[in-house]
Amino acid sequence: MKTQHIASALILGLCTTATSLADLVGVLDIAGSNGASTSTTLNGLALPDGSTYWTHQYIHEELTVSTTMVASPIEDLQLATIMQFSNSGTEDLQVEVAFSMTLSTLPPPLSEWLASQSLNIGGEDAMVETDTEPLWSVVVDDTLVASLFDNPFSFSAGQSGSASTYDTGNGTVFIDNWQTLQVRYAVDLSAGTTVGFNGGFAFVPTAASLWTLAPMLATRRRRRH
Amino acid sequence: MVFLAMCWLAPTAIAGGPIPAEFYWQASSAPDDPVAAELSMLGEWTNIDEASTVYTGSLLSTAWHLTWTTTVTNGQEQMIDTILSVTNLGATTQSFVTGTSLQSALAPGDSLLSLACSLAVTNLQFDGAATLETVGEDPLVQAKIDSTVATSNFDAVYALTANGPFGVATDSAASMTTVQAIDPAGLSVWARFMLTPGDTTTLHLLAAYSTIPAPPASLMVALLWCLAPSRRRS
Repeated sequence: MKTQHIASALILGLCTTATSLADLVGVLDIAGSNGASTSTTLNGLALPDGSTYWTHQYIHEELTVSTTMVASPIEDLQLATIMQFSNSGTEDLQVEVAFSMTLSTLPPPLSEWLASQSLNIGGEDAMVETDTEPLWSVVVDDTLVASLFDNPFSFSAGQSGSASTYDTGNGTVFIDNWQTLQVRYAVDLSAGTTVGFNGGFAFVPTAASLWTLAPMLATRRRRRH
Repeated sequence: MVFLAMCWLAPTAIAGGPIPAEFYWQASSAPDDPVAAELSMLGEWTNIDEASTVYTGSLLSTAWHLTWTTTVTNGQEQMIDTILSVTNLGATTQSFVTGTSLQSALAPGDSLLSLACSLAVTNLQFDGAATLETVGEDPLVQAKIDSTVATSNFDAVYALTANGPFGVATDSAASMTTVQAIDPAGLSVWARFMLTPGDTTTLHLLAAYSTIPAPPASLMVALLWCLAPSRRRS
C-alpha cells in the first residue's frame, strides 16, 4: 500500500482575527490492532466565534482515521467531535482514538453534562461493535464522566450497506481541581467498514442547567435509538 | 473483443497513483467560490489495491466545516462510498452541494445502479432544533451516470429534525435501478441540502454500478445445441 500525504486541510480565509493559534493544545492518540500507533500534538486554530478547532487525518495501511474537534469557550466548555474511521482491509480491526485537552479554566466541581453521538456506518457486511468498554466515553483526569453506546454494543449496515443510529445521555459529576478532559472512542470494525461519528459533550452553563436538565432528569438517563 | 472487455475492466489508476476521483463543494455563503478539484489534491489518500483508493480530508471556512472519508472502486464494479460531515458555522441556514465523481468508462449494456444513504443531524446547542432538508424540488441525494440522474433518495420535500439540546435524528434509504447507458463515461453521487446554523450533519452515501452478468458461454452453447435440429439416421 502506498500512502501519499498532500495538504491535510485547506484553510480558507481564517485566522485574520485570531490572536493566537496555540491558545489550546490538544493531543490525539490513535492505536489500531494492525500496528497503527501515533500520538500527535495539535495546535488549536481560533475560530471567529471564539471556538478552537483541530483537525487531523491519519492513514496506516488499511486504517484511515479522520478527526475534527471544536471546543467552545472554556467557561461553558463544549467539545464537538467528528470522527471517521475506515477499515479497508480483509480482517477485523480494533481502533482506539482519544483526544485530550487541558482545561485552562475549570468548570465548577459540581457540573451537569450533556452528550450525544450519531453513528453512520457503510460498506458491504459492515459492522461496528465493542465488547470490553463503552464505544464513546469522556474521562476527566482519571474519572469516567460520561459514556455512550455502552458495551456490549454492535451495529451493522444491513443489506443496503448504509445505516445510522445514535445515543444521547446526561448526568451530574463532582470533581474538584479538573486538569484534563479526554474524549475516547474504542471500536472493532469489520473488514470493509467505514464509520462516522458526529456529536458532542458539554457542561451545561450554570444558569441554563436547571431549565435544560429538569425535563431530562425527570425521564430516563439515557436513550439509544 | 477480448481486448475491449479488458479495457472496460482495467482500473484506471496510473501505476502507483490513486483511482482518479473529482470532488465538488459549494456553499450558499460563497456561491461564486465553489471547490472543484481532484480528491487527491484536497487531502490524503491510500490505495487499497489496484482497483480501490481511500481518500480523507477536511475543509474549513469561516461559515462551514467539512470532513470526508471516501472510497472509490473501479474494478469489476464501480463504486463510490463516502462519509461526509458538515457543520454550519454561520449565523443563518445555509445550503450546500457536494458531489463525488468517478470519471472512468463504465461497462455498457444492462447494468444495475444501487444507491444507499444514511443521514444524521445533531443539534449542538442548548436550545432550538437542528434541521437537514432538501432544497427546492431537488432530492437530497442523487446518483448520476454521466450527467443524467439515474436514481435518487429522500425526494423533496424532505426534512430531518433533531429537537432539544444535543438532540440527534437519523434516517436511511436505499434504491436500485437498472440502467442501459450508451458509452457511459462516469459515475457520480451528489447531495444538496440545507442545514440550520450552528448544527452538524453526517451523510453516508454509497453508489455502486455493476453489469448484469450475461449467460455464461457454456450455457449458450448448450442452449444452441438444444435448439439445433436433431440428426436422424435414415
